[in-house]
Amino acid sequence: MNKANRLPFYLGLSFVIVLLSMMFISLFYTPYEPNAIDPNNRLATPSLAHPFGTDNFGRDILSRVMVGTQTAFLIGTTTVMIGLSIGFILGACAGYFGGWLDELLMRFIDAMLAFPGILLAIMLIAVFEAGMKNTIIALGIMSIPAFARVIRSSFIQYKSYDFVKASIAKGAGAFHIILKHIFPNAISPILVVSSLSFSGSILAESGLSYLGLGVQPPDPSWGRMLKEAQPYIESAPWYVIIVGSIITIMVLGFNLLSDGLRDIQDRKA
Amino acid sequence: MVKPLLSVEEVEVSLQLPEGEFNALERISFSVYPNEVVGIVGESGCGKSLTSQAIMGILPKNAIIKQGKIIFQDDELTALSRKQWQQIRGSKLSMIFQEPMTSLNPVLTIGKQISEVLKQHTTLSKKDMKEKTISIMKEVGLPRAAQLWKAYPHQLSGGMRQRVVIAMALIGQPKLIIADEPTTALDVTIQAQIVELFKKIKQTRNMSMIFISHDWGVIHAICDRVLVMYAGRIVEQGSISKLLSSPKHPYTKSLIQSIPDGARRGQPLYTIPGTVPQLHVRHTGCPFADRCQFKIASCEQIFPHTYKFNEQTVTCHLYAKEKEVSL
Amino acid sequence: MRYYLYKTSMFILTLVMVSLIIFFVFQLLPGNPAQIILGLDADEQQIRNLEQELGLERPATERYIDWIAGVFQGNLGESLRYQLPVSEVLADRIPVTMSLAVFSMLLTILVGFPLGILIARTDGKFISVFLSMITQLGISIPSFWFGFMLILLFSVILKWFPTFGYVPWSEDFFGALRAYFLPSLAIAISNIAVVIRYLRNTILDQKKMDYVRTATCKGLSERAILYRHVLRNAFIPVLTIIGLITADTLGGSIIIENVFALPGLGNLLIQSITSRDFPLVQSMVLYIAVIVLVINFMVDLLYKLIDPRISKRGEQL
Repeated sequence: MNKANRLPFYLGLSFVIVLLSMMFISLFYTPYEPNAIDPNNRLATPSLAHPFGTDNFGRDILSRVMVGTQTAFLIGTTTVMIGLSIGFILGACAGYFGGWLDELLMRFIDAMLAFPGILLAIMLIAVFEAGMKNTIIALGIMSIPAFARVIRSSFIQYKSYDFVKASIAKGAGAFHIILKHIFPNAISPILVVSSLSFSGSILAESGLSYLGLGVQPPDPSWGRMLKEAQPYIESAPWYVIIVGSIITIMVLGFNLLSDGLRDIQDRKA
Repeated sequence: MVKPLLSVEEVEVSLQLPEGEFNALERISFSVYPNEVVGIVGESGCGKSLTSQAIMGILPKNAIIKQGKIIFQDDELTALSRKQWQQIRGSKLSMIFQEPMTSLNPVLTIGKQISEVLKQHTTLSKKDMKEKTISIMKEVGLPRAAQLWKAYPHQLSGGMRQRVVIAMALIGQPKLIIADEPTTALDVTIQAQIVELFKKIKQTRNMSMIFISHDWGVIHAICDRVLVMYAGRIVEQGSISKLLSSPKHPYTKSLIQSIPDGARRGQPLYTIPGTVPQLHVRHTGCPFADRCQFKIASCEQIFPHTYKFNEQTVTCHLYAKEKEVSL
Repeated sequence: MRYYLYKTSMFILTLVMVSLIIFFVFQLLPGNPAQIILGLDADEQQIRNLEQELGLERPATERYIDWIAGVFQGNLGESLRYQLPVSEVLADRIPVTMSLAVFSMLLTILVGFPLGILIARTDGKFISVFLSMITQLGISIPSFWFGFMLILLFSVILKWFPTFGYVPWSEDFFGALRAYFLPSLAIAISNIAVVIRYLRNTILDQKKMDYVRTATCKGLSERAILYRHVLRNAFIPVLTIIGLITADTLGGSIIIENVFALPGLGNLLIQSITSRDFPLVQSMVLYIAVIVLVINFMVDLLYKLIDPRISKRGEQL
């Protein structure tokens, strides 16, 4: 019965591994130059020469999708790093010190969550300008609340445990307690949120780029490819279908991974 | 000879565990007669609760009745359909659980939860139902019943909740109530009140009860007859006075020896060495052999026969010579 | 009473925080908003004129207080692009977004709840894993791409629905219904998946509770136990999810309105960002955030109505 339970986890893992290897390959090799225009071969249907077909400029869609994995992984990784580091500080302060500081920080987190979906990112990008760097910053900020919340609750939970209390009683410093006792136990919930936040960022990036507020040319982006593909939905449906499926597979991969991690964590508890 | 209300005949229940399938109840047989209160004692893990769940038809999903019959009035319970079960439960057969904190639904009012039994099994008018519910609430000692009608479980103390659970079990006027450790989760003073309530119910109501407990004081106060269970078997049964005055099975003896007693004040309390063997390590011999002071050679290999004395039966090799007629 | 007081003060505190965040992002973070609005090639004079128009020469605290005071009087400032009061510009757009959100929420509830309850009947290991993956797929699909797929299937291939073309309710009720259906579904799909997942898990958890065993021993049928006992308990945690989903629906409509060319807030928001109409963007963001907070606040109050443990806590009898 454990085997069946792990199926989603392994499926997610294999999706991620496939896309990850696609990214590494794309660093050294793509079937075509991703930006090479071929006016004679516009919107070609998938074939042996172009497995995913070509776009409205005659560019090879497979090559462009491959290069797009670089952007996706870059954005996912960096936003998780931003969200985790700032979220950790906020959550740790709130959970460890409690009291009015906790109340204030949590209301701040609530306030951030009042901007639904990608609105927080849209707002930041409206003020600065669209582009890779600002997309990463905006999505990184957007992922802070999830990290702050889970880290806060880990802190509150472990602070009440006897071994941590004993350590406090022995006069261990806050930093020591956090590093030695709380952090190691908080790792598995952090992994779950990281995975979820990773997929959330990729989903948000594709939305932003579709709206023209995310990654700008010449940086490759799946979301912008979808924007470019939209007018050809009738004449070249595969273009839309393929690019969207790739995004879905990536997001699904990380969501399943996060699900599986949570199952493992629950079983340990 | 009075016909028994409930007779459990050679019932065997097995549990599906990750380690494999194991018999958790082995050939359990006993009867409950009208107006009789039968106690079941034994340590945790002996199959007391499983026995009650088997009778009530609420065994967990991984448990199956492998063989045997459970006959209640004229019905063979193990063969009932879902519909038939619904008609019997609550009206002829009801159950009281150990945990009064969780056995009530937190979002429904007390009145609704008690009267729900009437709604299910009678065609009374709303007004009659309320009247009947309030009178039963008074009977089980719930004060200000009309006010409590609209209360939710979390507003009540543990003892009051247990009274609500008892009212729920009584309101359908069942012939048999199974009470599974109904006093264990309560404070000592509340325990005494609930025991008093059970005594009153026994005197005033025309019904039988199976009372599961590991507290001999409670058993002594309420029960007429007692079954002692060990590792999925009934090892001794008899009237409460006989069992307390002259226990036969070494397990019963140890259990009674470990009751705190004022006369032995100052001496360390007796405890039975070891624990109940887990399901997957039970062998063919007497399951109590490893912990038994009177162990003889045959105990580890052969499961003993059951020997009958006047009002007592015992399943132990020690009585083989004493009693030539085995059952 | 203490519950209401606490929740209300938290609501107000969060509102203040939200307004501060918005003010900070639009007025302080950019350095000189006038410069940003006009772009790098604007000359000194233009910038000074706009600064004056926006009142940027005054101190930040004064501007914040003025802004909030204006909001309370229904004065949200003036749109640079339309040269109209923001409230007037928004008035045309709000009904579209609200229709979309309500329609989408209705779809989520009407599809998600019955499916969740139905699917909770199955609790086999294999089917659980399968369902978990299917619903996870629903959550992972980008809503705007799902919108494309709906257009492809229903408009291009089957020709059941119009691809674009917004029809106001007042003009043609059924036309409007048709125009809203696909975009609502595109927003709803991930929320339906969330509701199914969550409801099923909650129901299965509740079924393991002791009160269910008690109800069985009363002689209730499985159906009665589900509807009279289990669902009442399961709906309490599900209410939280409904609050989150409503927010998600508003967030989703920002993108979906652009996919289906519906003239709602989301559509206007993106246009205003492109044309750097900051006062309009700032008010719209505030408007959406406040709606989300109000919904969450209402969910908090609703809790008290459906969960007796909150409303009567402490009143021991």
